[in-house]
Amino acid sequence: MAEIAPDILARAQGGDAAAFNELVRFYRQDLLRVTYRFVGNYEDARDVLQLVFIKVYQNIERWEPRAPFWSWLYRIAVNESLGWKKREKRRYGVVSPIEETPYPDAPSNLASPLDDVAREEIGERLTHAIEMLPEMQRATFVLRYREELSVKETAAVLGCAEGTVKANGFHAIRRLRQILRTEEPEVMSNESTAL
Amino acid sequence: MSPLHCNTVQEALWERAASAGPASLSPTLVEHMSKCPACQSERRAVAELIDASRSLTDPEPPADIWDGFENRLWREIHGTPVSRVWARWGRSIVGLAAMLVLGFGLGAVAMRVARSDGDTSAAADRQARVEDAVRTELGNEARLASYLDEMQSILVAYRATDHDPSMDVFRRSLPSGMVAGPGAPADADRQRLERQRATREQLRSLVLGMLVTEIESESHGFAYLDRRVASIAGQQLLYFIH
Repeated sequence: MAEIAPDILARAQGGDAAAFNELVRFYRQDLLRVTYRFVGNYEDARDVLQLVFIKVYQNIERWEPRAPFWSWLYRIAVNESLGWKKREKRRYGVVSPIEETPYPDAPSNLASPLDDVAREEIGERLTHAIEMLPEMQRATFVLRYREELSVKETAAVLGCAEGTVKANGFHAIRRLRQILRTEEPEVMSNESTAL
Repeated sequence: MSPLHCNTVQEALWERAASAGPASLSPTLVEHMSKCPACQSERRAVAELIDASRSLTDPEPPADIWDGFENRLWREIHGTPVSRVWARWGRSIVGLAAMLVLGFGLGAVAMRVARSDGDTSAAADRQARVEDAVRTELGNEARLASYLDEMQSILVAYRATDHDPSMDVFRRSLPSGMVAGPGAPADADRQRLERQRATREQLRSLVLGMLVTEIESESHGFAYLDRRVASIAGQQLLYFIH
């Protein structure tokens, strides 16, 4: 993720509201994407993001440049998103499904409308399967493969060792494959051996 | 080829597949895979899964997603009383006050819980009604949930692990039933912790009840509530210590 200019960050840390505004505008799109990928709809994702920025504002003074600023933001966003999901589950006993996810960027060797449907279905099932992962595996998977962070970056965001990220990633993939095999519909029969 | 070795290879595959691809595999892994159909298949499967994940595309956010975002954000921030002071001291104060509530209320609530299991559903109904009322009033579920969680986690899971001398004063004053020392609880505390967990929901109701009272008596949002709770907490703390 791009880093905001150090002088803007320094001014925001010093309590400059205009600089903080700039910081919000600079990071909000990326962070919305992160919160969306955890909570599953944009309305909630925006509410979570608001909590993220409130937390950032309240604690920005204490941030120290030992790690990139964006990784600190990511960490708050992930924590707030996971907290949101937990509360939602506790409150309603269910988690809201992720919104329908199109799958337009899939490998284009499948061209027919039927293949498009199949591809879309893979996307939906995969999204659903990611939802079913345990918290840390989900966080690791989303950060590594959806946000495309490195192991080191993921570890920094999650506040754990790189080995933990690797282990969680490994278990996440293993679990995803189990889930996808278990819930396999007919249309997926060809892809099932692959996934 | 031992299964353990295959596991080790396969564990390494997911990481390699995610980054530089086959070229980044060590010669040992490449050699193993050239002879192991299971690992070859695993490698394909992992690569395809990761490709599929990367290909997932999020829907576009609504066009008006940012409308009023910064205004709402600043309202919340400015509404938070002396935000940075609150960030530094407010939570400790609320935490300490919460400990008071817990200390005085836990016994009574726990006894009630122990006495009447039949009250559970009634309590759940009441809590649901209270939550609805608060949610409707505040119109900001995220803020409410965050607020409650914070209060609740302070109430139930508070452990004095810092070295603030003022916390020591309070810690020494804790009722004997409280678990407040640093580190993991001793075995003897487990039953007590179980009781605490059982009262978590009741405590949540108490907090919600307090919020509802505040909402009903004053037309203020959370900004006011934060200030009010901090103020009450501060007074209770001073009273308790002196």
